[in-house]
Amino acid sequence: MSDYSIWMLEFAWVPDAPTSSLVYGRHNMGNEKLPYCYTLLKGHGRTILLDCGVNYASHGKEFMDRFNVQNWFPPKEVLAEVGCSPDDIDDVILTHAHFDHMGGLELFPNATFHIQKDELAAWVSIMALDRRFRWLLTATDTGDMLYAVQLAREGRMRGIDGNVDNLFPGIDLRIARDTHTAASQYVIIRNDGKAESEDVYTYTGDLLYRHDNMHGGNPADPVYLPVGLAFGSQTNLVFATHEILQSTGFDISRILTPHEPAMTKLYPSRTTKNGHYLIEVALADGQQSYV
Amino acid sequence: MTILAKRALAPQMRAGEVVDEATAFYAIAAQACFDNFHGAANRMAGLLVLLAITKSRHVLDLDVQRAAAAMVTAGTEQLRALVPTRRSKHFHRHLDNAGRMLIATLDEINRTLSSSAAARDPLSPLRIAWDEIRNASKCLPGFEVVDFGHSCCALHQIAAN
Repeated sequence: MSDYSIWMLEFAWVPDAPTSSLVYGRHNMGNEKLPYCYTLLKGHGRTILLDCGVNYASHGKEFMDRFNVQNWFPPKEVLAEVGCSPDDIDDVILTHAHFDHMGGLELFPNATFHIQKDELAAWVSIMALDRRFRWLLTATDTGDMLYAVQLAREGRMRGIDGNVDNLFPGIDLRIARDTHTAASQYVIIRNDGKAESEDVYTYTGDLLYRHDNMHGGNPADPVYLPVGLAFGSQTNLVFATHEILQSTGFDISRILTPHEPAMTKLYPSRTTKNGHYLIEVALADGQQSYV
Repeated sequence: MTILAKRALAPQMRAGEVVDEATAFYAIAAQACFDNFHGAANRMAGLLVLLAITKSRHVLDLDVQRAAAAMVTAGTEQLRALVPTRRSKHFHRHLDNAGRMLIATLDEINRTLSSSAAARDPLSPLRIAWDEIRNASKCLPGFEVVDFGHSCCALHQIAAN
């Protein structure tokens, strides 16, 4: 039996992301749809979101309009598809400090947010550098930071120190330093609650965008190809990919990659009234199905 | 408007807006000051995030704080050299207010560092400074508070343009 129900919920998409940005080295190979998605866990009396999307307001609206992020709907509508509301979210685990993963802080009024302390520290350190390093600070918003100060003072923004077992029952955090970002983290869900679990799902954030990052397009003779965008080391990304695969016993279907449209083919899924995919990865005891 | 001024303003011009030449030159000159104040606010906000999360004053003793102070100093000097036109007066007033509030924020951070009994919360003046910077950005074309120009999602847009 599953401890947590798990749903992957698309909330927007970019129709024309360049393939080279998704899989390293695939230049001049056209564009692909890039879904934007967060993942909801419900179990052990908690409702937990993995990443929190982006808010279509202020600079978020400007960002999405300018870069062709389409069909954004607020969490109120997206979560309603699985019988939840933003008010129900107790905790949000932020995999990294990028805009489309933590731009929705204001949308979850009762949530506590969990991010690697070093992810924020590295970002602040970069701020000391000369103006010519400003690419490293691209798209950071002072308003978001001021809101984060408020959250932290209210005890609602928690800095995580490296690897953590059982942040919540059966949920472990693993840090992947110097990869996609300075201190990205991925989330291991041991859905039977056992230390040596036989029912593991691993949520990757942006350490992996596509299944091709795990097998290079050839599952029979896999090769790791890192994502096309890394602020850190591609070598470290490849090793993080290996560790992620190890966590599920090399079962790719149990690796939850929020930017991979093919996830819909691995689990029961449906298209919502807003045109988004909704994937039901697991159902806890007594939980109603929404597909 | 000169070609130089047109180039400086063209990417962010509001539709249908024509700026007189003196204002265009003012806007070009004001860009460095705006960038410095914006950068200083960003850095101080980053420091306060770390301070709140780590709950340690030691995080304030960083190069970032010195970088923020240098930006406020440079921005203040640049502001003094600006001569606003009628069209840019409103913008200039917001920029001036932002500068004063950033200085106040720095003072409070320094007092906090030295454990002064008179230290007050730096977040309050920083919030006001940020509001002033945002308001300034709305008064004249060409002043943006978030730089998306080189973000990951922008790459394909840059290529397309």
